[in-house]
Amino acid sequence: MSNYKIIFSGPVGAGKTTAISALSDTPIISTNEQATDMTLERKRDTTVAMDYGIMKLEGDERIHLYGTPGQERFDFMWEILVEGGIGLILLLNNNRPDPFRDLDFFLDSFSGFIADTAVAIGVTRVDEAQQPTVADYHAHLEEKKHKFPVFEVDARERADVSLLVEALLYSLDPGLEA
Amino acid sequence: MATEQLVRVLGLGLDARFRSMLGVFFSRSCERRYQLVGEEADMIVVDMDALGARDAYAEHRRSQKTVPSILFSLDEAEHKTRGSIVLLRKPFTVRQLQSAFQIVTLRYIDTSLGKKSMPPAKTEQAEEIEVERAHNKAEMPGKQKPASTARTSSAAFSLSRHDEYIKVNSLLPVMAGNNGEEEQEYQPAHYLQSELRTAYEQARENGKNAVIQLGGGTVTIDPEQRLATVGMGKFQLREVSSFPLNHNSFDLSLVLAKDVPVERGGSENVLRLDELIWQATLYAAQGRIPEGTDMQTPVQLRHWPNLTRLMLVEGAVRISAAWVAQAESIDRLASRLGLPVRDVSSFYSAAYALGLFQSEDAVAEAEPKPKPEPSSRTEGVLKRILKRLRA
Repeated sequence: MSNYKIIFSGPVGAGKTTAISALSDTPIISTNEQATDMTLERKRDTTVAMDYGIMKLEGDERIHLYGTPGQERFDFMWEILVEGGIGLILLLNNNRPDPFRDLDFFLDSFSGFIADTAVAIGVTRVDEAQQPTVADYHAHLEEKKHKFPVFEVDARERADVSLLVEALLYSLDPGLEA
Repeated sequence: MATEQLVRVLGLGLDARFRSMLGVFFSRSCERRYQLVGEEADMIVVDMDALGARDAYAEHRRSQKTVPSILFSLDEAEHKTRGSIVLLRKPFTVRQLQSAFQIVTLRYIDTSLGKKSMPPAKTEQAEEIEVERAHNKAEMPGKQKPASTARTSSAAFSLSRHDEYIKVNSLLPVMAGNNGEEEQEYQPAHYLQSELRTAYEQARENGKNAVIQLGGGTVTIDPEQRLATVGMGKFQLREVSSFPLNHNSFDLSLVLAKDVPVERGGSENVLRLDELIWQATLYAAQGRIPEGTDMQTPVQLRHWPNLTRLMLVEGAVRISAAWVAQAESIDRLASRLGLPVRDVSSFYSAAYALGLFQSEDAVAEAEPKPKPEPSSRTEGVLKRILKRLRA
């Protein structure tokens, strides 16, 4: 049985748990608990270890969907989580004070993993905060010579999350046949 | 082979172009078995999205309840086939259209002419029909298989399955020029897509909203928010986007107004301007590229389109990934990805309308970034994930 993973990461409240739920064939296993630090203001229950879901393929094959904790103090786990990962889905909460800082932080934290694989970026909560726009994200990435896929995403919508994962897969191999 | 009976087809709600397309379709794909006629007909085809078409069709059904019909509609909720009525969801492919005609002909027309021994169909029972599958299992009326085969194949049909990829290019079979050849180019300046751009630029310069008044409604553009309120139904938008604008019939005017608000609030008719221009361009292009585009010149995307919020053509994600990774011509990309040139051309036209392509200088200077090739084992699992995502 294969042991492939897709990693979902991003800051608090970006919708990682929801996005994994949208794709998972099994009830998602979350290690949520009540936040005790500044994240409490944003989200009462937050993921402090990881989220885990499974996407079942034909036969017995499974793709493991791992969500990293949103709190930066747990980032030591990321290196362990990404081992053997196919690629990174990075979700950014557009309603955070400085989404570009989040973007830079996560791209930097996962730089090695991204260089070996690929990343697709989903911007969530655009209905709550219209700025920055997707075009602004591209302009920001262009300064760093990156051309990653960036889509507006509603993490509750399976179609949005699926398209984001598709973009990740085709970024890995544009010649991949459907 | 016995001469096939000519089938007379009454078209309701069909504009001149649709009629012309059907004419080409009948001659090229149906061995001239069908002919559009006036009142006396063996079957009816209806564009349900056209103004007045529903009423006209209802009127005909009242007087001719048994006449079989093919209805074209954008409305997914209507896509159940009932008795002698076959509903075909737009956009549809030529193959699906062929199959719809085949179903109606085999089940209702040839039967009534005594050519086939098929029992009458269940006239009132709802039944889903898969036109795509029908095509695979049976041939066109001119090359009929035994009745039993046709019946077996039609029993399990369904209409076009819902597909996340909207086959925009299949809205109409092909854009045929005067000589019947498929057109490869069009002039964007003659279509709504260009008027939207012009209105946006004028509105931005003047610091006001722009209102484009069209025959079927209005489009209001807020340049600051880059939003547009579309004051017309989706089929009307498609209509005004698909045809070259004619000032006589469309009554086009541009009005700068500061008191016409565009409000973001989840309302369906408020679109991002980019989304609207992309959509209008796909409807206009229909597999064609802007006049003067060189199919052989390599081009490269500056960045990915915001695909989750855009109308998609077949292969949009693959095309985006490939054109972001490296510069490539339309022809070559279509060939490498194994996609119809029309799909790649449509994507090109829409992305070009949004200014997503790099300048020629930037393309010349760009150095492709080498990416590790996925192993064959990984490639296999990527394919299986894709399959799962699309299931």
